[in-house]
Amino acid sequence: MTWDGIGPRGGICVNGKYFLLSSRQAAMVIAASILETGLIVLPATLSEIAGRDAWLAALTAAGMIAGWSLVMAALARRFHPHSLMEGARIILGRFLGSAAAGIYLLYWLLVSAKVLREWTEITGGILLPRTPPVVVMILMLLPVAIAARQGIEELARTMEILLPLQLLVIVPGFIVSIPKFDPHNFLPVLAEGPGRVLYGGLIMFQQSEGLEVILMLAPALAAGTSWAAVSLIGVGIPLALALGAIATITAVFGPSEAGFLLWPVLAWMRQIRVPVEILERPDLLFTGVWITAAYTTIAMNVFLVSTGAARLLGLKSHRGLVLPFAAAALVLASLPRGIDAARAWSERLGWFNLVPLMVMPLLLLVTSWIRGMAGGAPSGAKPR
Amino acid sequence: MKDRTLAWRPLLLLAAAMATTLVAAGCWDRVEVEDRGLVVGIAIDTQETGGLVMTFQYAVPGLIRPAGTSGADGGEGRGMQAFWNVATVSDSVFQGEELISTRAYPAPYLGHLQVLVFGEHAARQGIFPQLDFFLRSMEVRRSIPVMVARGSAATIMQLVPPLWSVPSIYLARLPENEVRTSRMGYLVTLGDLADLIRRGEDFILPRIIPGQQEVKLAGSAVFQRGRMVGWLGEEETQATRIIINRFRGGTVVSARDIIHPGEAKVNYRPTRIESEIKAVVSEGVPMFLVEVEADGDIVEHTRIHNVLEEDMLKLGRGIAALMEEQLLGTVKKVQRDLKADIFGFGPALRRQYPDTWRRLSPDWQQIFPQVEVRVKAKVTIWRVGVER
Repeated sequence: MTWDGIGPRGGICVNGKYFLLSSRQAAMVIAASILETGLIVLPATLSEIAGRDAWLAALTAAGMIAGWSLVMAALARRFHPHSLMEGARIILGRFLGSAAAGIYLLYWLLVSAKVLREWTEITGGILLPRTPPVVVMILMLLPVAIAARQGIEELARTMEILLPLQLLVIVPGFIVSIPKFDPHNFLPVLAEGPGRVLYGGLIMFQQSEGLEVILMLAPALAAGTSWAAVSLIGVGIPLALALGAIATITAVFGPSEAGFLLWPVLAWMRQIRVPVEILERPDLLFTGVWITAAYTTIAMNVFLVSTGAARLLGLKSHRGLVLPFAAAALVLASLPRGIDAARAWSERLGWFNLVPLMVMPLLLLVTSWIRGMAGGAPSGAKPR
Repeated sequence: MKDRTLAWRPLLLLAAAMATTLVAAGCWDRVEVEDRGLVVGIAIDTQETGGLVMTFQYAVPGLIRPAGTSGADGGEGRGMQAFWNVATVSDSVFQGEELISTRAYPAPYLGHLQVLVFGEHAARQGIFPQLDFFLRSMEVRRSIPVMVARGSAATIMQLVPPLWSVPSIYLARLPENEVRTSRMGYLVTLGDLADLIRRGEDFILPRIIPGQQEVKLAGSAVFQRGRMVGWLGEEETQATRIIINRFRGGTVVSARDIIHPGEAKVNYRPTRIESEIKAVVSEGVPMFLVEVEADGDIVEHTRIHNVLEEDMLKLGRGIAALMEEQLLGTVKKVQRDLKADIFGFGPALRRQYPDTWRRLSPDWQQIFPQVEVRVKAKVTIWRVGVER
């Protein structure tokens, strides 16, 4: 393979063939897709389940997610150069494959609605308490729809710019929190027993929405892409942040208080005292920057559901489907009455997530293996 | 046809962008900065009848002058204050905030709150019901310090020394002096308190004593299950800070000269103190060993003579013995009089012997006053001090 440089629209050229995304961009897309509300809410959920061992539950989940990302990578390599939508039909046949693809479309739509609702609550609670939630949602969906219409290249480049910015805000948070660390909050280890740790790990696994994104990126990536590396780096960034945030929040707040917090990461930012008071309200800076993670995650999911539907229906472009799906996300996000109802809805979605995140990829991988489809479907292969 | 569509596109984009600004400008939540009622301090007292007396201290930004400057040229020189205290009687904190809005414009904004002070009577009745509002509020930071005033908290909100303009801002800065003295209770923030109370642990809060023009931040209020049960003096507060590893600075031992008894005074200032609480369980009965290690300097010695090498050892042992006596005395007083586990012996047992803790925790309040505690101090003198 020879390296031919940057392509005309920011993608890469390998062996004279143009591809939309570089490996780094693909990893950033996966990272930015996973890095959304999960991080904001997870420390409380895990503290509630595993108490002082929340960090152990997160570590268990990190192992599971990293391992499973390799399964996803193996499956994506088998699809290449098709996406999940065509790949599912090649492997499972037209009807079963379309049904499997339909499950993913529903999943992406529900994830868009979930993230939209959670961030509407955050924005409404902190920045715009008097603004009607529906206006906040519309304001969020407008740029999201524009980004989703542009396509994967623009989304990837946006994520490539925003992800370092998001890290730039949260990483100093770890550093200035060190004086507030109380390592006693981690003791005794395994106080709630290994069962709670494993259950907490499973719950975090459920929340790793975005892990499957690599399955849709296959058409935009070169054949020689190191799928495993892309997938591992993509999940590694949010996992490292989640692990750091969960451990920090347990060390700073203690497990009892951490379990009580609505948005523990925001509470953590409200607890921080920036040296020499150069910033009086670091939580507002954090919210302002971190909200971009919600935008990119919703945009990615709206893009996935519209592009997936377009591929399934044989349409030339996904653009016409973006607004209808964004509107559907708006309606779904408006349904739960109150944040408790939204959280209950999100918990149920977590169990449903196991189907597209765990069951379907395993089914597709095993079926393709049984049927002897060992990697890299010929580029001319058409879904039945 | 295609060209015409392309020509319209920039105009459509411009129209869409302009339409967005109609809603994106945040009309519902727009508040001009001069319409923000900047509340910098809140004092909470209780009446004998049970009602809350809440004092909101507004800052008057135009009259605030930098710390340490004279007020003669500003508004204060003309008798105008840089703060305004508004008080109301209410059933709850939220209602208090609501009632303040009937008296003060702009309505209170708590995003810049600097300090929360409880009066003694309010603290004795329990502070958690009053904290709930602040913990739920999206405006209030979790990093604001919480203190207890001897007597009325509202009185504290009136006292400001000439170097400062606003009492709350002065009060919020005072704990920074903990690097010079550990006679003040360590800084406990709103967020820290939430965790302590939810865990059901006992704790101390800094005590404020009103003076003529200024306040004194020294000693601490002892809390058991969220209710104040008594006071700790300045030296007892210092001892408590050493035991729980929160010592930041100050002189630990001030004693009659150990080398030549009765002749002179010697002051030892640690540069580092580390302590550890070790639980030991024997036949199901816990006891605790507090191990303290200090490195520090002799900062004052009122008799002029050379400290010899053999004197150093004697001095070190003498300071360690005095420190042990001071720490143990504080533990005994707290066990005997206050019965509140402010040192965290219970949590130490939980960490080191979880099974024993599970068995004893329901009765810990009764067990704590009886437990045996030993203190072992090791003191190293780094510098005996020479004149410059």
